Amino acid sequence: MRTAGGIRRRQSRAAWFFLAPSLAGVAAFNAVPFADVVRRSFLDAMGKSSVGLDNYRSVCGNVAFQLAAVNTARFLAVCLPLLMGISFGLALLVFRRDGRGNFYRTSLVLPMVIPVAAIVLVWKMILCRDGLLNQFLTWISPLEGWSLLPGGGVGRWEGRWETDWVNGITAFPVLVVTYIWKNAGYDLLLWLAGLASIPESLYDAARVDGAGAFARLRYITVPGLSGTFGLVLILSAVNSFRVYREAYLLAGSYPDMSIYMIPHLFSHWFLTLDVQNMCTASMLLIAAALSVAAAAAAGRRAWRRVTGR
Amino acid sequence: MRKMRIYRFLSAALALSLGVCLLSGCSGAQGGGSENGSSGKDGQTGTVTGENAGGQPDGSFGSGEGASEREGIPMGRYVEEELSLPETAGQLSYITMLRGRDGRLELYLRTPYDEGIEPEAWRYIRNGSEWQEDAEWHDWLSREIVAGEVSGIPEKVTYGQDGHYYFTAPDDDYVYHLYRVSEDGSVLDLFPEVFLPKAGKAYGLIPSQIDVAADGKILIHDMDYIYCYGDDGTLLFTMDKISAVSDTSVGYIEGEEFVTITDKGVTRYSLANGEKLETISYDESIAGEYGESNELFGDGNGGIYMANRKGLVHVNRGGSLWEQMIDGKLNSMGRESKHLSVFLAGDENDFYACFTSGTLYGISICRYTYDPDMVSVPLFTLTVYSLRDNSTIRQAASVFQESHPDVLVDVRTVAEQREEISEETIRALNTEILNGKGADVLVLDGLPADAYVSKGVLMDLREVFSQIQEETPLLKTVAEDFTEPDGAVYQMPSRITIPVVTGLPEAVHAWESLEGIRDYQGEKPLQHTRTYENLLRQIAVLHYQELFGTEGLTLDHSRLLVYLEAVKALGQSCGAKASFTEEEQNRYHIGSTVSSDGISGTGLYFDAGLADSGMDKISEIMDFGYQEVILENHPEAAVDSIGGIYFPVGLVGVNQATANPQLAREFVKCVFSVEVQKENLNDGFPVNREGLDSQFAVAKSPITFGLGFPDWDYSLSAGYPGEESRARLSALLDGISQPVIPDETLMKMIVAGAMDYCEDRISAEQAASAIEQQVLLYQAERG
Repeated sequence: MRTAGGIRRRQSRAAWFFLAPSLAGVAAFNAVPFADVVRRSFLDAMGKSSVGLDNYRSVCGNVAFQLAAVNTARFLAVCLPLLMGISFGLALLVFRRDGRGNFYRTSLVLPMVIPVAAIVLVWKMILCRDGLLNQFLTWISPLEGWSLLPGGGVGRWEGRWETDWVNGITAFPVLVVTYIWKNAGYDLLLWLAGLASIPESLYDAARVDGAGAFARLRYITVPGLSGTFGLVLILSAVNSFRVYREAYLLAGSYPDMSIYMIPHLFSHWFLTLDVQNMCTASMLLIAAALSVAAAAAAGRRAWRRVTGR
Repeated sequence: MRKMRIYRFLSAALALSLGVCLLSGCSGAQGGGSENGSSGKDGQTGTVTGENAGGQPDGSFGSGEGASEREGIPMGRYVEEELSLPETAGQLSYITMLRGRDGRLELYLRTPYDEGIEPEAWRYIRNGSEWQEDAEWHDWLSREIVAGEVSGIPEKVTYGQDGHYYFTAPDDDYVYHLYRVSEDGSVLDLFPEVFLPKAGKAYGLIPSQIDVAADGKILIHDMDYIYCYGDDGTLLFTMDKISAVSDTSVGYIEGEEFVTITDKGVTRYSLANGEKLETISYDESIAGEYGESNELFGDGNGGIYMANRKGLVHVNRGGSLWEQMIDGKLNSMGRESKHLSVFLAGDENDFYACFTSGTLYGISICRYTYDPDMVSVPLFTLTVYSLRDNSTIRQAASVFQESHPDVLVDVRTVAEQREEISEETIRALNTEILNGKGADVLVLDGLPADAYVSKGVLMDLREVFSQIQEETPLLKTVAEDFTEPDGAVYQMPSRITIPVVTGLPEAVHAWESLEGIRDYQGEKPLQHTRTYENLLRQIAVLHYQELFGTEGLTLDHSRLLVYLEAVKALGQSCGAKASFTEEEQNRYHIGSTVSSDGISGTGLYFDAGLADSGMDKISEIMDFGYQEVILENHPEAAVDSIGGIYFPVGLVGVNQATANPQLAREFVKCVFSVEVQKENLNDGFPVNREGLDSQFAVAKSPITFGLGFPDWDYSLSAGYPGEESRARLSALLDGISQPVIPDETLMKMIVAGAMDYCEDRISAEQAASAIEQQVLLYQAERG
C-alpha cells in the first residue's frame, strides 16, 4: 500500500536525480568560481596570503574604479529607461494579433543578429573624422566656425566637419545610440510576447464599456505586462554590460573618459594580473546590485501595502 | 506498472552511462602531461619536477636513474661533431666547400676583401681527420691570374659531373667569366659573350651558382632564372627558380634531372628539354627563411634532401611527405650566428655542413653522424616564451641544447617583428601564469614586467646573477639598473641599444633638454622627421624619466606642456604632418612605418644637408659605420648619446611556477654566457663585458652597405668602422646610465592626445589636459 508521503518522497528523489546534472553544472561553473571570487577578494594577487580588507579599501579608493562605476551607473540610468521605453513603444506599434507586421518586427530584430564587428565597422565609417556623418554635416552646414558646443569640440574646422564622434564629448551619446539600436529588437520580442499573453477578451470588454485607447493601455496593457517588465529590466541590465564590446571596438581600450566602464577596468586589471582587485570589485558590484534589488523589492512591497494590490 | 519500472531502469542506466562518458571525456588521457610543455615529449614519462628534477648537477639528464626511464623510448639521432679547420682559416674569407674529384671534401678560402691585400685563394683537401693545403692549386691559380688567363679569384666553384672543375670570377670591369679547368690545368674561358652587359644595362649576367651535367650542359643561375647552355654556348632553355635576395642560389643535377626551389616548392626539371617534371610542396615548418637559404642535394635514388636552419628533411622519389632527418633546433643548424652555406652528403651515412658567420670571417664545418644510442627526441622540454622572435634567445637555445642533449628548448613566439601585440595575447599568457603554468622562461619585452615582479610571478635570480658576475661580469650599469633595492634580480636585458645623435655641436647639445629642442634656432631644422607620430614617440622616449618619473608613474603637467611645444616646434620646422597620402609618401620618400621609440634613423638627413642633426639607434658596431662616414664628410660635426640613455632588449626572467627551476636558471646563465653574448646577431650590444670586448676586438669585416635616394642624387656608403670610431662607440657604451623601457600604452595615449594639437586643432593646454586625464586614469588602475 503506497502512502501519499511515500509517493511524494519517490517523486522528490526522481526530481533531484534528474536535476543533478544541471545542478552539478551550475555548481562547477557558477557556484564554485563564485566562492573562489569571494575567497580571492581577501587574498593577495597570486592568491597566496590573506590581506584582510585591504583589497576593499584599495578598490573603493581607486579613482579608476570610481570613474568606471559612476560611468556604468550613469549608462544604466540613461539607457535602461530609454531602451525599455523605446522598445515598448515599438512593440505597441508593431503588435498585431492577426500576424501582420512581420516585416517590421524582422527589421527591428535584425541588428541583434548582425555580428558586433560588422556593426562597429559600419559605425566607424559613419562616425570617424572622414566619416559619412561629417561629410553630411559639411554638406548641410555651410557656416564657417559654427560649433554645436562652446569650445569648438564639435563643429567645422577649416571649412569641414572633422569631429571624432567616438572619442570626444559625443562618445557617450554615440554609445547610448549604439546600445539602443542593437538591443531594442530583443526587448521588442519580450514585450511582444507579453502583449500576446494578455487576453483579447479584456480589450473587447473594455471597448464595450467605452474605454479609449489610452485607458486600455493604462488599465489593461500596463498592468498585464508587470511580469514582463521585470524580465525586460533584468535582461536589459545584463545586456548593458555587453556594450563593452562596442565601446572597445569603437574607441579602443582607453576610450573617452565618459565611456570608460567597469569591463574596461577589469580588462586592464587582468593584463597586470590584479586578480584580487577584479574579485573585490566584483563583490562590490554584486553587493550594489543586491542592494538595488532589495530596495526594489521593499518598494514593491510598500507599494502593494499602500495600493492594496 | 512493470513496464514503468523497466522504463525507469533504462532511464537511470542511460543517465549513468551519459555521466560516465562525460566524465571520461574530461579526464586527461595522457595523464601527467602538462600543456605548457614542461613534460616529456609526446606523452613520454619524465616530467621534470623539483630542483634539478632528478637530473645531474650539470643539468644533464642522461645517466643514472634517468636511464631506466628510457626503456621503450625511440632511440637514434644524428649527432653533430665540429671538425677541425685549416690553421689559416681564421684569417681568410670563405669561398665554398664541395665534393670534388673522387668525392673528396674540398674547402676553398681566399684573402679578405680588402683593398690593401693582394687577392689570393687556397684549396684545402680533407684527408682523414685533417685538412691538407693543395699548394699546387694555389700556385697554379696565382700563375693563371698573373698570366691573365683567369680574371680573378674564384667566386663560385663547382665540380661538374663531366669530371671538370668550373669556376666564375669577375674581371676589373665587373664582368664575369666562367672557366673550365681541364685535368692538365689548362683553363678555358667559356662563352664570355653570355656575361657581357646587355644594351642599356650597367651589369651583365652575375652568376649565383653553376651546375654542370655529365653531357656537358651548363646551368647558370642568376637572381630569377636558371639558363641551360650547351657546350658550345647555345642557350637551350630557361628554367624558373625562386627569386633570390642574395648572391647565392640553390639546386643540383642528378642524372638527367635538375632540382631547384621555385615559388611552389621543390621542382624537378628534365635536363633534356627543361620541362617541369614535378613540384613537391613543403610547409612553413620546414622552410628556410627564404628560398636560397635552403640547401638541396640528392640521395642517389631520386630522393631529395633539403637542409636549412630548421634541420634536414628528405622526400622519396614520387613521394610528397617530407621526413625530418635532423632537427635544426638540436644543433648548430638552428643557431642564429651561423649561416648555413653548404650541406653535403658523405659516404658513410653522414653529412657535412659548412657555416659562415655574419662577417664572412670565421667558418665552422660540422659532420653529422647517426648515433643509435642517442634518444630520438629529447626527453625534457624547457619552454621559452617571447612575444617576438629574438635572435639572442634563439642562439642561447641552440647553445644550451648542445650542452644538454636531453633537453629541447622550445622557443615560442607569437608575433612578427613589426606586428602589433594584442591585449588578448597577454591575457592568454596571464591565464596560463595564473593557473600555475606558463612557460619556464619569459622574455619580458612587451609584457607587463613590473606587474609580474610585483605580483611574484618572476623568480628571484640574484644567486644566478651573482655567480655570473663572479665568472663573466655583466656591464656594471646594466647589472645595477636591474637589481632591486633589496638585491633581488627578477629580470635582466640580454642586449642593449643606444640612441646616438650626429650633427652640429649646438644641435647635438639641444637634444639634451626639452627646452633645447623647443628653442633651437639653427639654419636648418634640428632634425628631419616628417611624421608627427615618430616625433612624439622619439622625444617622449628621450625624455621619458623627465615626463613620467623614474617609475613611469608620475606626470608633470608643466613638463608635458614643454614637451608638446618642443614636438610642435620641431615638427613645424621640418614640415611634419600627422599623416601623408600615398602620393606624398612617394614624393617625399616617407615611409608609413612608425617605430615604437620613434627613432627612424635620420642621421643621413644631416649628411644630406636637410637638418642640423640626425638620430640613429645603434644596435651593433656595423651601424656606427654611417656615423664614421658622416663625421668624415662633416669634420665640424659631433656625435653623442642622449643623457646616457640605453634601451634594454631581450629582458629575461624565469617563471616562479616553473617545473624546471634548475634548467631555467641554467638557461639564463647560458643567455648571459660569453659564448652567446660575443656573437653579433644584429639585435643589440652584449651586456656581458667579455662578449662586448670580444665584438669590439674584431678589426675588420668585408661587408659594406649603403643608402641613397636617386631622386635627390644622394647616397651614403659605409663599411665596418675603424679603430677610432670603435673607440668612440665604446666610450658611448661606457657612458650609459639610464635604461628606458617605454610603456606602449603611455606612448599611445600621448600620440592620441597630442595629434590634434600637432595639427592646430586644439591648444597645447587642451592636449596636455587630455593626455593627463588618460595617463592619470592609467596610473590609477595600477594603484
